[in-house]
Amino acid sequence: MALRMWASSTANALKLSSSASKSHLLPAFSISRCFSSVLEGLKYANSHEWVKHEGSVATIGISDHAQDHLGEVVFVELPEEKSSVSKEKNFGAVESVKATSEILSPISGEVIEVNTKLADSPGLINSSPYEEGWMIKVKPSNPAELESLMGPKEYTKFCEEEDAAH
Amino acid sequence: MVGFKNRFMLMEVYLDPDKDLLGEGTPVILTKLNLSEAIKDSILVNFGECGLASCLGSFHVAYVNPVTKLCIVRSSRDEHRRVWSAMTLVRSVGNCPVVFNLLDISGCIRACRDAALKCETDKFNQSGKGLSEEEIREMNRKMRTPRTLEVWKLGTVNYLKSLKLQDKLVSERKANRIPDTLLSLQHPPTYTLGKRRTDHNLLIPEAELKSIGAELHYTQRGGDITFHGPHQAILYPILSLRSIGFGARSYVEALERSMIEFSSLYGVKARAGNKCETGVWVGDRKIGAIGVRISSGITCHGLAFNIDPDMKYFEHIVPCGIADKEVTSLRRETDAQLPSEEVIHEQLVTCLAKVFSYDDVVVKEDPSAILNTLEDDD
Repeated sequence: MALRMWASSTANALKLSSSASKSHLLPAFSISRCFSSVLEGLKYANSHEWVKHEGSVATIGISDHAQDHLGEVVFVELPEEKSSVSKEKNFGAVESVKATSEILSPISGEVIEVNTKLADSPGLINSSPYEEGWMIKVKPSNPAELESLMGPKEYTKFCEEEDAAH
Repeated sequence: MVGFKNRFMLMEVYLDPDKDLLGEGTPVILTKLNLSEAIKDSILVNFGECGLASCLGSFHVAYVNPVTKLCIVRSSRDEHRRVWSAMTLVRSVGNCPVVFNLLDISGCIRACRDAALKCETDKFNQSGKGLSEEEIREMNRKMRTPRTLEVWKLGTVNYLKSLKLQDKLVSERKANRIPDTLLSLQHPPTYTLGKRRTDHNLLIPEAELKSIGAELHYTQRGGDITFHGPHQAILYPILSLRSIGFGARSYVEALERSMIEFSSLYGVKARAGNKCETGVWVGDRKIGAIGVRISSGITCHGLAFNIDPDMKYFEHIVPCGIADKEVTSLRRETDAQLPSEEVIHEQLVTCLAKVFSYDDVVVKEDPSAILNTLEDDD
């Protein structure tokens, strides 16, 4: 089971076969040894969440690397609109393979929108972690926090080191 | 005893094989990362994706000494020849041409560590050159500290108390005040629900629970409804996922493997569940359940293995939300004489420690030490 997953990820990364799962991602991604994709234009936290900052709205979700290590997501718990989130504090949880994992917010701010589709289709996090699988939209209270997050190249290296270290 | 076999290979790396250097002026600094990448690339080139995938499970560069150029590589026993040949075929690390030479293979890291120490001592004695203070400090830092698992044997513990204890241990582990810890215990008859609060899977009204001598608790763990009771072995590992290098899925798979290994001690052929049926099964009957919570990278809750619990309690729930499958126990699956529960718990702990590659298991026999501290916080 795990063998097949690795083999198909390898095949995918080396472009030796066309497996459906990753083919719809945007073209700008970097192949890393951890065989998961990292999108340009986003910032990343070392707890594997991503932030997309557009004007006064920041969208938050979890990275491809994170969803790959979690397994199939069956349940997502998200905060309510108008609640506040703080940097590096947990704002919700995902359940996969009998394990609930907390999600930490990369920035602080007020929640202005929550992805309600995730209640019925939690699997969107696995199939589209950067697009349909977004979790919350936040109005950042301290835009300077974004500076301390990692860019795509740094994050790719971070994942590689984490995976290679064990 | 337990069947999760590895081989540890002690390799010497010759850099730029024409020259013979010790310490200074080396063209590339050997690190776990660049060695591991070079070896994996070699496996991929020589054995293909399938070969790489089959070796990756247990492959790990355990130790690298950039000064003496010795490294210890772990591989599963079944794949070690493949990894060995791939290492022999490695042509370069980074931009520097290298040659790998195997010095020793052993089945446990201790023997390999001893062989490595011996080689390194010989090298230093031969080189006739002392190491500077700086280099000695560098070396000591690189020596991997052995990974220890602290095990608390707690006997029968009330469920709420165990939740409080786990919360406390999780914050201690997060603050790095304690090492990876494992709680080995049992509960009085208790039904528990996970984060999804699937109480529709409880088939008797809550009010009746007291009459059958059971409690009900809602928790933050993953998973559906389950029953815990006497003669069911429960393990709650409080581990830092980052320090063991696992993600949620691989952690749960390792918990499944621990229970499968343990079952095999009694000749019971258990298997991991299919997709969406996490747990450990014998045929179509569930023998082990898993429900885990991960908070800030630290695990809590864990696994429950049925040794010989009162199966009637399972009739009051749809166990784990799976309606058409039975629940079974070790007692039901084997005719073998079962040893005392104390021994069984120890065996289960040993299986888990092996699967998670702990070097040392330290057993703490005095449960009052941590249980009593909870009273103070009340």
